[in-house]
This record gives sequence, C-alpha cells and structure tokens, in this order.
Amino acid sequence: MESKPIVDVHNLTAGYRRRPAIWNLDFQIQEGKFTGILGPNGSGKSTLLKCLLGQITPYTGYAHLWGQNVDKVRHRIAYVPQKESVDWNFPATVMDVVLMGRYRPGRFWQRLGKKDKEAALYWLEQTGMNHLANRQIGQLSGGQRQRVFLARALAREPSLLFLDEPFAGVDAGSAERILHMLKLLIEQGKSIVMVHHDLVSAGKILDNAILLNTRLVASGPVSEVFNHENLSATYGSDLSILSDVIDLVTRNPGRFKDPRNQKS
Amino acid sequence: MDLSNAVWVFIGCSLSGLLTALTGIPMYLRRQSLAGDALAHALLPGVCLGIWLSGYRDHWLVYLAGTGTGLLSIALINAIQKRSKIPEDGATGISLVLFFGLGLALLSSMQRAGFGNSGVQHLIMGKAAAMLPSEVYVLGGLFILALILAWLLFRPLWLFCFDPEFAQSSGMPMRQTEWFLNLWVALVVTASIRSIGMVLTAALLITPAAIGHFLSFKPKYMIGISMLSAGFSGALAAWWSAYQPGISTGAAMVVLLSLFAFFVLLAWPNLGYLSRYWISQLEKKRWIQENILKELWKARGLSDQELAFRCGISDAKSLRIKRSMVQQGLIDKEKGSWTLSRLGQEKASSVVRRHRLWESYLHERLNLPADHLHDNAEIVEHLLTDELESRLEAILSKPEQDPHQSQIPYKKS
Amino acid sequence: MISAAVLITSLLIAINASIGGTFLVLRRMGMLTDAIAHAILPGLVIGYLLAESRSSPLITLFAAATGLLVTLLIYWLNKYLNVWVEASTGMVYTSFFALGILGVTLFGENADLDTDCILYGELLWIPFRRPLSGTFLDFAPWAVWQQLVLLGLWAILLLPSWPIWKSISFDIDFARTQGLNVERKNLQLLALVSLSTVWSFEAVGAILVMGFMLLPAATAWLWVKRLEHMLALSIALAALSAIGGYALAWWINLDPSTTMVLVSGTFFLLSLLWQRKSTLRVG
Repeated sequence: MESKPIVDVHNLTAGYRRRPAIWNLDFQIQEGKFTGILGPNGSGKSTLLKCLLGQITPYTGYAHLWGQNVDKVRHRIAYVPQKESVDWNFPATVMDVVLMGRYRPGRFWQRLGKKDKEAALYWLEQTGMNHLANRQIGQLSGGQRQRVFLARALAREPSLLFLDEPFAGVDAGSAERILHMLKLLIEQGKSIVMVHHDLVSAGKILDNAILLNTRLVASGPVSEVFNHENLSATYGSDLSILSDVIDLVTRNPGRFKDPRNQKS
Repeated sequence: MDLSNAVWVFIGCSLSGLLTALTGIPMYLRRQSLAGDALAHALLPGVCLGIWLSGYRDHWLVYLAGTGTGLLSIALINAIQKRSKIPEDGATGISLVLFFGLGLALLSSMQRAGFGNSGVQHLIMGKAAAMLPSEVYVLGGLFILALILAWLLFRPLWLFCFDPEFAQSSGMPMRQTEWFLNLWVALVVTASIRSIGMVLTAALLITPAAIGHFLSFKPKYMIGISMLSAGFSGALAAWWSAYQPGISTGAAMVVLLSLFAFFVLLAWPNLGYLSRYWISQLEKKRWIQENILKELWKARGLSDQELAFRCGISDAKSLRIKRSMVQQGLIDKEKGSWTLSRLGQEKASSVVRRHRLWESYLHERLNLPADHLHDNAEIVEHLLTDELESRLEAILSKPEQDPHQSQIPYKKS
Repeated sequence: MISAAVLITSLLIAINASIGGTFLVLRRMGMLTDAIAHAILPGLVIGYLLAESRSSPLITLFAAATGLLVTLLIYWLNKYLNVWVEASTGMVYTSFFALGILGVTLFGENADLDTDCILYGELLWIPFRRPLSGTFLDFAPWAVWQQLVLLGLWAILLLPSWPIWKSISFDIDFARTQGLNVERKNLQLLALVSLSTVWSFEAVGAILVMGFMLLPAATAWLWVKRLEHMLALSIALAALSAIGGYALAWWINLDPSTTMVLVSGTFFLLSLLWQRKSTLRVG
C-alpha cells in the first residue's frame, strides 16, 4: 500500500546562533509509519526536530506537515521532549501534568472539564501510571517520568507524535511499555517520528529511518537504508570541507537568508 | 600628611573602583555575580552592629562584623540550595532581602536609641564627600594586597574559575578556595561601601568584568580593561562630586561606568551591536556587487532594468552600488548597457567558479539532487576562501563541468 | 496607633506581590524582581518631575514602563550580545538604579522623594494620601484602590486561563508546541509584576518589595505538591506575615515593612529547618 507523505522537508537549512547544524535536507515521511531520525551526537537531530515542531525558523527551505505550516496543524501533533528539559521540582502531580496535554488555544474560558479528566485518566491507565496519579512528579523514577510525558502527549490525541530520545535513561520495564504503546499507535494508523541514537534497537523497531550527519545521508525503509555504506557515511566520514564552510557561514557578518526571499 | 579632602575623595574613589573591579572578576567568571549583590546588601546588619558597638564608623569592629554578615549571606544561599528545592536565583534573592531587612531593622532601632544617623545612610547609597583618610589607607592596603595575591595566585585562581572540578582533581582545595574568595569579596566590599554604597556595589563587581569579557578573551587584557574602566569612572565621579557636592559618588560612578558599558556594547568597533550591523550592511553590499558581476559575466551588456531585476534589488539601490563599482574599475557603461572591465572579468569568473565548484561538491559528496544545489551555492560562493577553493579543486580533481553541465571557468595558469 | 488603612493596604500589597512571586520563583526569575524593583526608580523620578504630584497616573505609567524596559533590555543583551544573563541583570538594573539615585539627589526636593522613602517605603503615610475629598473614592487611600485594581487584573489574567499558566510555567517548550501564545502570556505576567512593584514601591521601598514577592512563594513551594495549593498557601502566608509584621512593628516600634519581611523570612527559615524529604531538590 502506498501511503501519503505526512512530513515534507525541502531544502532545509537551520541552526542556532547563525551556525547551520543541518544543511539542505530533503526528505518525506510517510503516514502511518514509525520513523526514526538517526545520527551521531551533534549531527543536527534535535535541530531537525525543533524545525519540524516550528520552534526555530529555518534559514532556507521549509518543513511542512500535511502540506502546511506547522502553526496551522498544531492540534494534530504532540511532542514528547527529553525529560531533562523541565524542572521536576515543579509543584504538580502526575495528573496535573497529563491534563496539561488537554489545553487547546483559542477559547477565552479555558478551564478543563470532565471530559478532559476522563481522557487524562484513560491515558494514565494506558501508560500504567494510574496508581501514581496523585504523586508529586519529583518523586518519580526516570522511566516513570518518561511515561508521564508520553501520557501528556497522547492526551492531545495526536495523529502525529514526535519523541526526542524517549528511551534515554529509562529502565527496561518502562522502555518496553513505551515501545508497546508506540506500536499500538502505529496499528491505529497514527504516525510517529522519533529521534533515536541506538542503532541496534533501531533496526528492530523502526519502519523507516532518516540518517543524518549535518546533511542527509539516506532516508527510506530501514531494510534499504541500513547498509554499510550509509552507516559509515553517517557515523564519521570526512566532512572537513563542509564543517569549514559552516564555520565561514557562522562567522560571516552578512545576513544569512534564503536568496529567494531577497529577490522577492 | 596634609591633603585636602577633595584629594582624599579622589584617591578613595579611584582605588575602590580598581579594587572592586579586580575582585568582581572571579565572581563574574564563576557566574555568581548576583551572589555578590546579595553579599553587598548583607553588609548592612554587620556594619550597623559594628557602629553600634564601637561608636565609630571606621572601627575595626565595623569591618569585622560587616565581613561576617556578608559571609553569612553566602552561607545562607548555599544552605537554601542544599537543603531545599529553591533554585539559585530564588535563594540569592531571599538571602539578600532577609539580611537587608535585618539591617534596616537594626538601623532604625539605632536611630530610635538616639544614635543619630552616624552616616549609615551614606554607607547605603554611597557618598564619599566625608571620606576619612583612615578609610583610604585601608583601601590602599587592600589594593596592594590584591595585586600581590592576583600576581601570585593568578594561574590556580583562573583555573578554579574556569573548571573547578578539574582544579579539584589536580589537588586544589575546593571549599577553602571558595571561602577564601568569598572572604576577600566581603572584605573589599566592606572597605569600599563608603564611596560606592551597598546597594550599588554589585555594579562595580559585575559591569567592569562584563566590559572586559566583551572586549577580550585574554585573561590579562580582560582584567586590565575591567580595572581601568572602573578606576576611571571612580576618578571622574570624584571630580564630578567636587563640583556638585550634593550628589552620591556611588551613583555617579555607576552611571559613568554604565554609560561606558553601554557605549562599548553598542558601538565598539567590530564588536558592538551597531558596528556589527554596519559591517553586515557592508557585507550585504559586497554580496550584491558579486551578484552583479556574476550576472554580467553570464550575459554581457545588460541594461539597468535587466540588471536590477536579475539581482533582485531596487533601481535606486543598484544605482548607488553600480556607481561605486565604476569607481573601483569593475564595470563600465557603454551605450546604456553594462559590461565588465578586465578586473571585473577576473573577479566575476572567480565567483562563478566558486559557485559551480560548490555545486559539484554538494552533488558528488553530499549526494544532493541537481535541482537543490543552486540556492546553497548562491550563499557559499560569497564566502569561500582561496584556500578552500583549491582544496575543493583537489578533492573533486578539477571537474570540467558542474552538475548542470555548465563549464567551470578556471584561472589560466 | 493601629491604623486599619495601613493594615488593609499592606495585606493587599502582600497578597498581590505573592501572586506574581509564585510564578517568578518557579520560573527561576527570582532576581528579576530585584532588578525591576530597583530599576523603576528613574521612571518614578521622571514621573514625579513631570507630574509634580504624587498621585498622578503619569508616575505609574512611567515607572511600570521602565520596569518592562529593563526586562526587555536584560533579555536583549543576553540574546544579541551574549552577555551572561546574571551579568546583564546586574548591569542593567544597577545602571537604572544609579540613574534614579542621581536624580533623587539632584532633584529630590522637587520630586518629593528621598533616600529614606527608597529604603523603607512610607507605609505609615499611606492613610493620608487619599483621593480628593468629596468624591466617592475618598473613604479609602489611593494605595488601597490601586491594590484592588491590581487584584482584579490578576483575577482577569489568571482565572480564565489557569491551565495555560500552569502549562507555561512547567514546560514552556511544550506549551509552544501546543500552539499557546507563550510570548504574549510572558509579557502580560511581566507587565503585572512591574505594575505590582511600582504600586508597592511607595509603601515598602525598593529592596523589600523582593521579600514580599519571593518569601511567601518560596515558603509555600516547600510544603505543597500542586501549583493551585502553592498559590493558595503563598497568599495565606503573605496575609499572615502582613498581619504578624504589623503587630510586631506596633509592639517593638519599628517600620512595618521591615517587620513584615522579617516575619515572612521567619516562616521561610522555619520551613527550611523543618527538614522533610519532599523539601529537597530532585535531579
């Protein structure tokens, strides 16, 4: 069965503080697939994810979801950040955090109703966290924290789920549970995009992979993409000229912009 | 010695500027600038206590008690962070306001007990007009001691600020060094509150270091710049207060120093915000010039409108840029159409060569499809250096054509 | 002499400050309150000089705008010139404060401001600053009206979109991916904090404002596990220390603003000593 592209990335260059971390990426992600973004540290995986989520503006090119800017389709996506990105001393219970996933912008009176609580409870059950619903989040283990984040994202009932290294620092039991949930989602026809760095497990759990090392090395079904040539190109090949040019771009005082924008 | 009061003030203010700037650097580098602020505010209860007990404001008890409460405030910040979930900034704020509140309570009890003002108010806001010679001697002594210590301990201290864990692993006593630095800061701040004032001491601990860091990454230059800017603003403030005796020297010093800091941040050549904006405008102009050269290389004899359209710029802008290019001898106008001069020809072919070489590299080495190369090369063509160009030539072994089957124009050797 | 007007004013000030403080403490912007409280001084001086009266809205406008300006300047220095955030905080607010002090010492007589007012505030003078007699407002001092307006603003801001505030305070990046307008909410929060600081300045002084904001919120954080409870407890503690502080001030004859901070601080230190596992930081 041929599926439609859900993510369309075209000629995407982006980075922080004027330093491009990803360079002219071009790929598509199919609907209903479990896709992994793979690459060594510093290969621009997180930058790519931030672009897809619309958290940083690209220097050139675009990343579209369902053929539109991400701002138009935010109600259809959800995001599981790395668990280190927040302060777990925050005064909130597990239930509070999962309920956060239910907020939608736009209405004036934005309090949550009974329906939202039921949805949150449902996802807590699914992630096996319902017995901890009233616990303060700081008292959770690493795996439990990741499961709370997953429940918060799923409470948004997304068609497309983004995850940033969900298995890092997670115990085996939690990892299995999370993986099980992700597979269920795929069976329900949802799509998943996950930043991942463990190649061994990647081959087993993913449908598609995007191999990244500043530039795109390969993208496509895991069986085709995972070959010796691509992997060695991803994990260490000589990119000295590219990195020198990135240095030049970073240091150049000119404004680094899409030339087409300049011409308009 | 018989020096007039104004000279004492002048020396005192300059010295306290130099001294606090030097002292602030380790605080700044360890990113604890705001703890310095808390420490300075926390001197109030100690100083009040000292004055109350001794009856003099330059008594050794004042220095002792001031330093003591200053150190206690740092200990409180550490304790709050260690024993609760309150993060650093909250802990700093809490410690600052608690000690200062305690000080204010002491101060008003003193006033009610008929102690008069004893100039404590001036210690808070800083007013050097009535500086005592003994206070200047203390400042001078501390300054000389600071120079000696900085000279002797420069390397280990710098290492400690940069990477405390490494310093510890190479045998440096962490906690002792930390408390030694805190003690030193407390001493210096106590000694200089007469001229700067508690509430503003933070500025002299932080701003000079920030100026130094902004202007140089070399430790010695950074220290020198910080001390000079603080010393000068102290001297200038003293001079100002000699003409306008009502003003607070501390405030004057900080205003002068901050003016200098904002001037540096905005307009320092090459580094300031405005200078960088100016440079980026120049760079933009260079890119447009190179684009004009490239378009003329591809199609000779373009008219004004055609050229402006192809380079995507307005007519007025292109007019200005073309005028400057004629002056540089890059292009000429013949019968309403533009052509390249010999020099222009050379430069244009270099831009085109870099563009096409980069396209070949992207295509061959990064496996980008042929329809994705152009936009990237439009940027990189302006940036490549001669060295990178020859490396590209070498890796690609001087290809004849780029991925779009256009000829790559090499220099005739 | 116990004055009901002073007590009510300080209660309202403490409550309003603790609401803003709750969010600032959680978002690690504690020292920002310090910065705003110091930095509004030049705004106040200019306002006084222009308006030549203490109760002009011009003063509030200038001072609150200065508070916001300072926040933006700190952010700007950090983002575009890579000045470390603690250094840019320290630099910016001290420069504004110094400018203000210079203004006070040069034009203080015209502006009816002095250094005592900056340090202690003038809580005891509050009852005498009333709207013009004869209007229906004159049964309460200006400060009470100001604080009531502020309380209303907090309610309008927080109640309808409480879940959003929770989400933003916990995880700002996730809130962004939800499509919430994070920047607008941040600006609203800072504007109210700035206004709250300006309107408490006259009563409690530049430095003690920070105690009113941070201390009840930080104390509450040690005891609760939900944001709702933290806000409620922090308001309760603020009210309690206002009342307790006023009683103490009356008893030992000190400035009430100072004693309120000291009572509040005692609550904090006691909570800190009451070591429980849940008060400790987790990684």
